[in-house]
Amino acid sequence: MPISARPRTIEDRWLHSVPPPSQWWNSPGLDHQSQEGAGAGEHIGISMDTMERNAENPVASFWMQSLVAGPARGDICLGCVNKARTGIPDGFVAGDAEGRSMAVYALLVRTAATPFVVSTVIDANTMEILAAGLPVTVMLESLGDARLRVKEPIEVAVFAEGGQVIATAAGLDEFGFGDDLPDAIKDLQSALTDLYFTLEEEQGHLGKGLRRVWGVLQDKVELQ
Amino acid sequence: MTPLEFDQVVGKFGLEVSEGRSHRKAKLYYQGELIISTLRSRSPKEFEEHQVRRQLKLDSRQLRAAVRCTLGREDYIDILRKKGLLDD
Repeated sequence: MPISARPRTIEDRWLHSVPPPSQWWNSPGLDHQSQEGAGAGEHIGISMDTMERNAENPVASFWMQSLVAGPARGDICLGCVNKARTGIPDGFVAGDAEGRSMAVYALLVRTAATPFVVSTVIDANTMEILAAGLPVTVMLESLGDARLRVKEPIEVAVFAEGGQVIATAAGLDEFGFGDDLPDAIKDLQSALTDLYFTLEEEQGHLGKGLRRVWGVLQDKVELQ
Repeated sequence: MTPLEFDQVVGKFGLEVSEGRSHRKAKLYYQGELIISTLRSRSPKEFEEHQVRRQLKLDSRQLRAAVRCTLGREDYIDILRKKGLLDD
């Protein structure tokens, strides 16, 4: 299971700031929570209505299991990271009882049509690799656009450079960047969506390079 | 690379620029075919030039020349032709 060991403390600039545990349960992005075992340092499970509505989604189920099978009571809390501007939870952070973040465990980016778009576990090791300036690979399972469906996960290399996180889609010559990993992924999703509709519109007169890119993109993405 | 430098380069190369939902898009047409499609975030932050180089199919020396305005559209077309990206 992805959450199986106590993470090491990581001071990392890509982590979102995390409110203290007492505030996690009142976060605007959480419509419904399971508070069994709740209490400072004792949160072992968390559920959201977005997960419950998508219980048949294998990715969602996976995360549910991961979270329920989380770290031992008493030493780790699970918190949901919220984007203040959207209220959309897009990641889970394990922190200590004081609310200090320790590691991003899962990156969950939600859209109306496809709630869970990134299935790769972003764990303590991942963040250490990024901090060392080395690339990590995540598999992108949605472009965050209700018009498009990812039929084959898109391999994305993520690395940190120049104080930013950059996400590049293999074989598509496309990239996204941001202050942190979620922002870089979202930027890439937007870029790939733009690329899809651009190439679809122009498919009758694409040059050689873009004909190849369009072929790769069609293998991985289709209209809903 | 700054967003301004990016805009100057795509302008110098004659790419058509349009505004997307969250990005500024730039497209190069040659003899009726779409050859290059690239974009940049509207964020004012600088971004890594090698990503732009990859999209524009330039090496670092060529991109620097483009930023210095010593590489123009015809030079760029010639580079793309030598890379086999043009059908002519």
